Amino acid sequence: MASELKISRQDLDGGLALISLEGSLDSHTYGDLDEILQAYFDDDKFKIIVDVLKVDYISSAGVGVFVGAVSQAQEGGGDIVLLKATNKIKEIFDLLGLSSILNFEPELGSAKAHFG
Amino acid sequence: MLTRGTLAISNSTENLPKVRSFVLDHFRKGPLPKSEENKIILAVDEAVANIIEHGYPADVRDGKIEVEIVGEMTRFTVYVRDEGSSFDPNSISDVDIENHIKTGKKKGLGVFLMRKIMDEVVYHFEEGKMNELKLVRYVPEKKKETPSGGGGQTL
Repeated sequence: MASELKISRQDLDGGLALISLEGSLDSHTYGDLDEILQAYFDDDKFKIIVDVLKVDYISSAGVGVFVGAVSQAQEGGGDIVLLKATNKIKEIFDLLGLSSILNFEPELGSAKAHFG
Repeated sequence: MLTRGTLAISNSTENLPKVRSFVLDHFRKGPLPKSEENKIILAVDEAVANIIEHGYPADVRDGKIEVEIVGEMTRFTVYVRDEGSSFDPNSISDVDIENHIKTGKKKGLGVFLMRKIMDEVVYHFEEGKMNELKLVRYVPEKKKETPSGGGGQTL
């Protein structure tokens, strides 16, 4: 039994990128997401939506990826939006006082609208 | 005693799901409400992940980590033991989350979470023995309802 995180990527209109996650985002798997985000930044793509609906577990290592990336995205003129976070996932961001700092959206439409 | 058990693993992040599953099994036999389940699992996962990351040198693959759980009527206690470098999580200051975001800092959130979730985080180091981190969460007190609505008493 090992931690697994499946990551899929999709380019959307308006220079947006959609990353969909499935599985556990923990100390074993966070590096994979971190690398993908950095690759987007290196490619000058800073408007990123991360669908976390199918994330069944997140630890501080996973939260840290978003904490570390959001300022980079904003400096590049974009942002990171977390899409469809379940209560279980949101609870961890709440504990860290991040819910009002990071952007959470319930639907893809509102996530896209965040980028105007 | 409601539940008690010990899990031994090596210092690999691949083993974190085993730890979480072990905590879940005992949590469900223990005294805490379901609303605490995710947080308790997280606190233990953070403690173990911290040892894996900082307790043993990167080339050590067989570092021993032991997780013992004792679930009693009034509290849920987890002991996390290791033979790596000693590290007292209480020596780390609470994080300034806004500063973390501004500076793009990714680390340091685990200890903060552990302390936020558990009622007690006690580290014990003694030469020649395993390092031991004791995490305790007490069963929340229920307020006794009184018909008059005054003079509430805690049980």
